[in-house]
Amino acid sequence: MRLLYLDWPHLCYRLEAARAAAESRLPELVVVGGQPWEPGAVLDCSPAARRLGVVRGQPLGAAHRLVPEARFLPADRDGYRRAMEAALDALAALTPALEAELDVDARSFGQVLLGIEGLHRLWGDEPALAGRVLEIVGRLLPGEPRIGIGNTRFGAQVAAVVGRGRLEAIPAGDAAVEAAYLAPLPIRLLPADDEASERLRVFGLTRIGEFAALPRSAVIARFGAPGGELLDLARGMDGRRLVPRKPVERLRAEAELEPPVETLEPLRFLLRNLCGALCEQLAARGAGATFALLSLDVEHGRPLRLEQQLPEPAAAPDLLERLLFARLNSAPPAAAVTRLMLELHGEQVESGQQLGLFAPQLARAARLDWQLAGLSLRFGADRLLRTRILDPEAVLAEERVEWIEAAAIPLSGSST
Amino acid sequence: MAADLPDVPSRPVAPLPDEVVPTGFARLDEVLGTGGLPRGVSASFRGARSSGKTSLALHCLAQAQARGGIVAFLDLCRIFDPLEAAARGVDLRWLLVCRPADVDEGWTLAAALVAGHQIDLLVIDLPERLRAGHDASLRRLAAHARRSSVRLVVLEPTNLAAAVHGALAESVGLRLELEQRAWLRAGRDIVGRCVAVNVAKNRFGPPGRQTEIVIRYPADGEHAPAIDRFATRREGEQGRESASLHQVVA
Repeated sequence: MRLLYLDWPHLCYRLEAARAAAESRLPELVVVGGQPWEPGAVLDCSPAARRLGVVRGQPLGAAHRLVPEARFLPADRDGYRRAMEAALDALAALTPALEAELDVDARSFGQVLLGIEGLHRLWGDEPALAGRVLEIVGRLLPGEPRIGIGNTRFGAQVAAVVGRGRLEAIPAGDAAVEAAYLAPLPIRLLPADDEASERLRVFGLTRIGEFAALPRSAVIARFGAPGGELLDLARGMDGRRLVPRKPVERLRAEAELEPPVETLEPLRFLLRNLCGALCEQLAARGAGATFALLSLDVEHGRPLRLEQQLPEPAAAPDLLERLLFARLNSAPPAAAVTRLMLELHGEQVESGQQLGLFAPQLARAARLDWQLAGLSLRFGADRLLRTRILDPEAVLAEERVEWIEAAAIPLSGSST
Repeated sequence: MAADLPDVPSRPVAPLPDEVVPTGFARLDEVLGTGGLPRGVSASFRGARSSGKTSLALHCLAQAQARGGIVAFLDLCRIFDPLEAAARGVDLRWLLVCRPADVDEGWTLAAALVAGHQIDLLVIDLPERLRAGHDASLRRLAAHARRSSVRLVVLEPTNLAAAVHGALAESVGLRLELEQRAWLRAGRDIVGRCVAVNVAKNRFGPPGRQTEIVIRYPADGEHAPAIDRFATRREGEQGRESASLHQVVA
C-alpha cells in the first residue's frame, strides 16, 4: 500500500510563531507550555531554546532555569487542535484514508499519514498529488512539512526525513524494494531506545542494511522481541496498518431573521427550535454533542460567536437551549440580529444516567453539572467552587488545599 | 375476637427515616423528636463564636452526604476550612462551596441553587453584623427552600441586627441555640468541648428541650485517615508513548 507521510515538527511552536508574526515578532527564545511558576511541562520550544537544553516534557521551572530570558507562552491546546482539524478536514477531500493524532500532548501530534493507493486516477501521479497536498495544507498550517512516500509507514517516515523538505518517494514494490532503499541509510533512523542504540553502536552496525542482514534468531537473542520488530522495519516489513480517523461530525442549523431581531426573547424561541431540530438528529443516532457553537450575524458590526463546552455528551434540547441562552444573556448582541446559526460538534455516545448504586450522588450529579454550568455563566466561574486537599501538613495555608472552579470538573466525573 | 386481631399500626407521626438527616449527635436527634433534620426544614444554629455551630453543621453535611445527598456551603464569611470539613467526615468531592462577591449576590446564588432542586442541604454561614435589610431576603429564601424540599441550615451569630434575627426566628422551623459549657480535657490537653443545645423553636417536634453534646477536636490519629481519604497525589507528568521516528531523528 502506498502511503504519503507529512510531518510538521514542532507544530505548536510554529503555530505560535505564525500567530505572533501578525502582531509582533517573537524573540529567539520561546517556550510553549505555560508560565515558569505553573506546575505543567514544556509542550514545545523554539530552535534556540532547544539548543540550550530545553526539551519537550521538561518541567517549566527547569526550563526557566536553563533559559531565564525566554518568553514563556501558555499552550493554546484547543487552538492547535482546531488548526490540525482544519487541515485534516481539507485533506479529507483527497482521501478518506487519513490518520493523524489530535491530542496536542502526544508526541505524534503534527504527523499525518495518507493512504494514496489508487488515487492517481483522480488526482494524477504521486508528485502531482503531493503538490496538491502541499498546496492545501500550505494555506492552513505554517511552514513547510516534511513529506515522503513509501510502501510502509516506516518507509514513508524515513523518506520524509531523508527528503529534508523535498518530496522523497520510495519506489513502489514489495518489502525487498523498501529494504533496498533503507539499506544504505544510517542505523539511527530506526526507532530504537537508548539502550538498543548503544548496543548497535557497540556491535559496529552503522547502516540499516547491516542490521537487516543479521539472522533473526540472533537479533532476538540479543535484543529480545523489540529487536525482532526493529529487524522487520529494517527489512521493509512494517506491519502497522493505517487507521483512518473518524471525522468529527458537525450538525448545523441556521435561521435567517427578516426583519432583524433586537430583543432576546424571539432569539430564545428560535434557539429552542434549532436546538430541538439538531438534538432530534442526535437522539436518533443515540449520540450527544460535547461542544456547541452559536453564531449571530448582526446588522452593524462583527458577528458574535459563542463557544460552549457542554458538561457531558448531551442531546437534550432544553438543557442546551438554557445554557446557550444564559450565555447569550451574559453577552447580548450589540445590534439587531440578522442570522442565527447553531453548530454542534464532537458527537459522542450520549451519557447515560448512572444509577445510584455505589455513589448515590451520581444519580443527580449530571443534572447539577448543567445547573452549575449555567450559574457559572451568570455569576462567574470563581463563585462556585470545589476543593481538594493537596498537602495537609504544608506550611503555607494556600498550599494545603486547592480550590477548583466547580464548572471546570464535572461532578458526574467524581469516582467513588 | 377483637383481641385476636393484630394491632393496626397507626400512621407514623415522625417522618420516614430516609426523609431525615441525623445531626450526627444521637442525644440531639432524640431531643429533636424527629431524629434529625426533616426534608424541607429551615433551621438556624445560633451561638457565639466557638460555640460549635459550624462543627454541628459540618456533621449534618457529612450525614446528608452519607445518605446520597449533594450538599452546598454558602461561605459568606469566607472562613470555610476544607481540612476541618474533611476531618468531620465531609466528602469534599460532593461538596459545593459558594463564595459570592457580596451578601446580596449570595442570596441570589442560594435561591438559584435551591430552585435547581439538586441540592439536599444548603448551609449558610452568616457574617457577623449583617445589616438590617437582609431580613426580606432571608424570609424569601426560607420559604423557597421549604417549597423546594431543600434542607436549609443558617449559622447565626449572636450579634445580628434585630430585624434580621427576628426574620430568621420567624421564618425557620427549627432553631437551636448553642452555648459552650465546658472544655474537655485529657491531662493538660484540651480535646474538645461540651456544648449546651437549647431547642428554642421546633415545628416538627416538642420545643423547649435541652441537651448537651460533646464536640471532640479531631486528634492527629483521627485527623489523618480522614484527610488521607481525600488527599490527592500529584502524579508526574507522563508523556504518551508513541512510536515516532522523531524520538531518534528530532
